[in-house]
Amino acid sequence: MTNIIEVQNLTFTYHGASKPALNNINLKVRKGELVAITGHTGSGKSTLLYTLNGLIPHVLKGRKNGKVFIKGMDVDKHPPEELARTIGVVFEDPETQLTSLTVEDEVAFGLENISIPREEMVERIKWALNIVRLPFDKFKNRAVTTLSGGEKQRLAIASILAMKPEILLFDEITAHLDPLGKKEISEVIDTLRKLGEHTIIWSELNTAEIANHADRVIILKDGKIILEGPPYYVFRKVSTTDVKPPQITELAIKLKIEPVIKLEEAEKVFQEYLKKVKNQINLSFEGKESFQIKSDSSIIIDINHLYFGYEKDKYVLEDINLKIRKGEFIALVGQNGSGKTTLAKIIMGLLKPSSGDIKIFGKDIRESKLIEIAQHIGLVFQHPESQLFEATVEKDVSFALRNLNLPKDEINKRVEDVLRICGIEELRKADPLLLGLGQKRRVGIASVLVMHPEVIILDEPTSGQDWFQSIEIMDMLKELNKKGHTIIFITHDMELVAQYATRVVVLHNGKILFDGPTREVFKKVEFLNSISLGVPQIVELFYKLNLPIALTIEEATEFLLTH
Amino acid sequence: MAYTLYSEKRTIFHKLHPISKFIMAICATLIITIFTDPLFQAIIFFFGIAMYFGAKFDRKPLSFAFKPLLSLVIIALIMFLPIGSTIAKKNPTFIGPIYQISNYTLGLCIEGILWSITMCFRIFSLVLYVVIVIASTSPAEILPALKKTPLPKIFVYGLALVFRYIPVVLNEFTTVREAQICRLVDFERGNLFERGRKYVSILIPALLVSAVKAERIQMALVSRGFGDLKKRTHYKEISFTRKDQVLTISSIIILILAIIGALFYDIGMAPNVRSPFKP
Repeated sequence: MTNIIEVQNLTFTYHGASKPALNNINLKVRKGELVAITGHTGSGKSTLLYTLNGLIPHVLKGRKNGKVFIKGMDVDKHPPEELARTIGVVFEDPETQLTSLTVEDEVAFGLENISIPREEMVERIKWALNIVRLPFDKFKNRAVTTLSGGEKQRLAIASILAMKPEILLFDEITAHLDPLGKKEISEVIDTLRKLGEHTIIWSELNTAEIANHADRVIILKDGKIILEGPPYYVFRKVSTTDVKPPQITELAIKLKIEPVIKLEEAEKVFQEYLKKVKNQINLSFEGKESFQIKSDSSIIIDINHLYFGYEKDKYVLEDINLKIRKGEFIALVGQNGSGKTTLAKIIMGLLKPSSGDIKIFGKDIRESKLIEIAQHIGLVFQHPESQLFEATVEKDVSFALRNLNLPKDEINKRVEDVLRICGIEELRKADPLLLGLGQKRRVGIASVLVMHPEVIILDEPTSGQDWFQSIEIMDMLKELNKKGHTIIFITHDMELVAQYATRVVVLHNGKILFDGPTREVFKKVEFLNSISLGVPQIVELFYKLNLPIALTIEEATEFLLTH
Repeated sequence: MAYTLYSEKRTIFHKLHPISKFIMAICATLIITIFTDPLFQAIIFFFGIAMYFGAKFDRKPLSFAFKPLLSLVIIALIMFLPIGSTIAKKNPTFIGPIYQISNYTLGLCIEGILWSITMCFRIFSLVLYVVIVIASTSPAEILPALKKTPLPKIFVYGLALVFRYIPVVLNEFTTVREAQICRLVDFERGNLFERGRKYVSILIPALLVSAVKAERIQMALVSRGFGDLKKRTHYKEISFTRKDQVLTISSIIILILAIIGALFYDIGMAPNVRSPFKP
């Protein structure tokens, strides 16, 4: 088969950067392949994609050595607008790539740019929207702003497909989506694979998804390719510090059995294993429950029959009843639009309930000023890094304390403490805007923590972070929980929920569908799948094997390992 | 969620070209500005109301637009009633107590009352004609309409992006504001300087986020072949029909007649009331 993409000795350093983002990359991609690129955040995945469609060097400037050829065309000599007929890119954030007001105009935009006659446009728009399951008649006049995240990303894919490029570049296209959106995109990738008309280069962090779709996996680390090959080979060989392999692969490696990468095949392999070891393992989690709901602690947030709506008689939250006790570690899960963030804002006093009662530390929220609530509860917004504005980290962290007019000594002491807790002491004098994403997020969390809130609510604290950065943040929250802080975190990542939460609250269409201990929630696999929240692979596997539900790799290994 | 004035309907105005509706609104605005006689203002207003309901628009956009005007009208009445005497050409007809402030003789007078009524009608009429245009013009129609004008193409596409990203930027500002409130910034307290300083905590992050988004939008645009504007084809073509021609020409004729009438025959001009159009 012919190579449709050829990258030769490619090194690229962004303007002003001290080290290269890509370092001596050599890559050949055959027509029709689906190549997945993975690695830590900042390993060079997106940069590599940008060199393929000409954004580098034509739009993003820096020092470039080496060559990139797309269907024999030297990318240096062809700007991205010219390459757009051959290579299309779908970006991470659906919000910044959709430029029109309605769905049909959005798909038409690219076609207008490449001078497709109007009659042909109509056919292409219908075809492309059909592939991404946004039926033309139903969606053509829909305002882009009214679409869900998943629909927006599918629209972005349709607007590229309509241009009929042979190569598609997907740059972490599910990073901003909820589980339902992720599932929809996964189905679209399946459809594209069945069509077989495209070569796909896909930058992705979710290795389970990669295992399901990719022909080949490339692992990048510090701008270099450190491992490359079919998913079976790569996920068996890769160090777990470089990439987090699919949970079932990790478990199989730990149990020293035949490594599997797809859930469908795992069931059979693990059943075989169980037959062999059934007399040597203890088939019970009795006494091993590490998480306990703290039913003896005092209730600090008490919500009764809460209703909230932005418009009259249209409720975003309906009949919410929730009692939160001191020292709990709660995950608030649900699809986008289920009311998670709204609930957090109501608890914080940013939104007033339409009806119902909320007591914060025994006091009715209607009688409390925000400044009083903020002494007890800290809300860390999604992307807290985009709220930083001061010249140094310590100034940004101390901002809330200065608003409280606390004495300087007290401010210094609190800042010192919180910088240490968040592991960012050495960044004290650094400009927060120049830090890496993970560090910025820690600064954002520190700037709320510094107010010494007893309850910390975090809205998707790990979004946009790779697994390793997510674990660092969650470990930090676990430490805070051990010190007595009550933690409520909103997330879409069910692996993190299984690993860290002691209690899970499932919100769906503004109602609480389930509220209980983590293991109890994960026992309801079919329920979680039915509302498209999904479960971690380990949970799914144990459910299929009719075993007591294990929540983490560690638990599963301990359970299945023969002694 | 913000209420948008546009609604999918099949009124006669929905079928018209956006440019002809813009011209109608501009002509109406000029006529409203020229006339000072409250009777003529009332005629313009009720003509607009008749057009609005005759065309079977929903009540909702109009009531949504009119509600916030009530306070503006009260302000206009309070402001213009006592100072109404200052806009009289000759001696005003006082009907209440008179006050002397500096060189001005103030007090309730006939001219002031007429002027206040005129101002109230003006405010409502201006909003009414703009609502007619906005409620019947999908934002998605504006871009194809403007493409046909002599306006520079880069300006037209820039404008389209502004339409698309206004909600995104506003959302960004709201989120940053709420985040800073949670960091105990009280935007309601302090003098003007202090409040300005507090808004820096919103402006800097929001501008930085917007700058990053702008770069990403640029990347998305060029990646989808946006470059040579001359070779572009167009998906939507909005034609300028006979009805559009009638509306445009009649709007311009009425404007010309209003100017001539006001300038040479004092038609639509309140007696003894000064006008910047005809001092």
